[in-house]
Amino acid sequence: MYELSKDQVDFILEDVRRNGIKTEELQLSLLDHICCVIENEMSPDKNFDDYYRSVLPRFFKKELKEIQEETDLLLTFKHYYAMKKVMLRSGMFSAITFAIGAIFKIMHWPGASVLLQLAIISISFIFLPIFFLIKSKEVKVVQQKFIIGFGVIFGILFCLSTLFKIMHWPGARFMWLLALGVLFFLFLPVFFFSGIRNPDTKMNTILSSIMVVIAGGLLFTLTAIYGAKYKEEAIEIADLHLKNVTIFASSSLDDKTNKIEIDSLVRIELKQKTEKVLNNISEVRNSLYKYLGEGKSVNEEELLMGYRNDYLSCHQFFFKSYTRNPEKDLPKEILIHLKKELKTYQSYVNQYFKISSKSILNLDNQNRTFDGKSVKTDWEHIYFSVTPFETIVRNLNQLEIDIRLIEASCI
Amino acid sequence: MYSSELIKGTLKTIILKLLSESDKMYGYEITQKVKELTGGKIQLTEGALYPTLHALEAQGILSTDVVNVGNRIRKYYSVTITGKQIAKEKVNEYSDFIDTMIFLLDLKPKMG
Repeated sequence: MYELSKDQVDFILEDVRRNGIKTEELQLSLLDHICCVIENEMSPDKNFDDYYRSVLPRFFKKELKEIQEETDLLLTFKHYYAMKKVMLRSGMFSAITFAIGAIFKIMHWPGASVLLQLAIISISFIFLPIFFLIKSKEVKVVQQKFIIGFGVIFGILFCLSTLFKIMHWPGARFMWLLALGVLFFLFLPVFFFSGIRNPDTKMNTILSSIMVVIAGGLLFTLTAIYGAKYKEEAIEIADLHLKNVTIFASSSLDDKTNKIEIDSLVRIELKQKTEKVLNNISEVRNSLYKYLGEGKSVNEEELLMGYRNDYLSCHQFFFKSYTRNPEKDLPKEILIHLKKELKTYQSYVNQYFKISSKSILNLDNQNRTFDGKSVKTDWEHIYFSVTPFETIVRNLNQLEIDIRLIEASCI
Repeated sequence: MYSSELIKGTLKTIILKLLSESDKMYGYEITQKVKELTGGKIQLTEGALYPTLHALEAQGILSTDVVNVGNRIRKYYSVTITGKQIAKEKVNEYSDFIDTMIFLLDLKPKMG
């Protein structure tokens, strides 16, 4: 039996390392094996170097580092089957929970948001990340890994923005725009240009890309620009209004010269007129609730619970048609009547109390920008056209506060 | 000698069966034992043996024992308790597979 010297053992170890065996465990295993082969199979009269060179090819097909790669692959996929199982189960769970949650939501049953939250969380934090880990290991081409990666990032952002939206948490819109950015500027270019080069996938790539653009574009137009722009504008108007009211109220209280002695008869008349206008406002609110509640009488809370904040439904209630053009969209009787009542109240107050309520209640036409051009817009359109449910409720509440303020400043 | 494709699918079973019947073995010993038992018909390739041994170790099916031998280290492998159970399952599965293959390829028509 041939005996290997320490130098020879060190030489073999160094050679194994040089040939791409990186982990120490594997280096030592192979070293022992090669040494065993040489010690047991080499006849003492043969040359060590030559024999070593002839033994080495027994370990690989092309290169020695194949063993390292094979080991890495087996080790990384240690949890492969467990991961696959978790992925499939979380996927099934999300799909079922999502379907049930959607039905609950449509039917306004309690528990809808819990189900939807569970579905979205399990899909974005369990299913999609594992999907990425497994799929990106399966593909060999780098572009394919990027496509899967960007697709998964888009998926997670899309799911989370939906969750934020239905839960009314801040940041939904930003996340949604980010998701679209990933889709259009990262996913689509890589997907399109890597797929189009291969004649086999060329046709399918073009068709899929067109569908992605259409679907993404439709979602974008439906959600991002339109509603948000109007909603924010409406909230801004309401806030400015509130500020004005506060300034007016404090200044009129300070102004002692404006005080008039009011006899009790006038006081009663004012009270009656105020109640009448307030009743009018309640009437508008209640009929809106009834309309959104599909004929059933419901309250604001129930409507908000069901997230009936669709600005199109509200618009349809207040205006006959939907054109987005203030000159063509004609307000319904209910709004015209309310405006008339408000004007009557305003002129009554002006006449008897010498108080200009204009700075509180501004019923005049104002210039507003629509699609880039300035349009003279009436009061109905400013506060009720293409406005989300919550904002309309807010505007109506504000109107009630304004009336009360006017009444208070008269007395 | 059989083709490497045929051996590849049975490597785990062979290793587990051999190790569960002996106290402990090291890599070279395993290849020699297989060669000896099959009269040289099955020769495990080192390129497949070590990745499998390391993976089985990581899965907790095999445990190892390190011994100094001359100027180097030798790793002895033995089967853990869970590994013994898996070895039994693997062997049963393989025996069932062989029966099916015999039937499928019509190598030994069933009597009666």
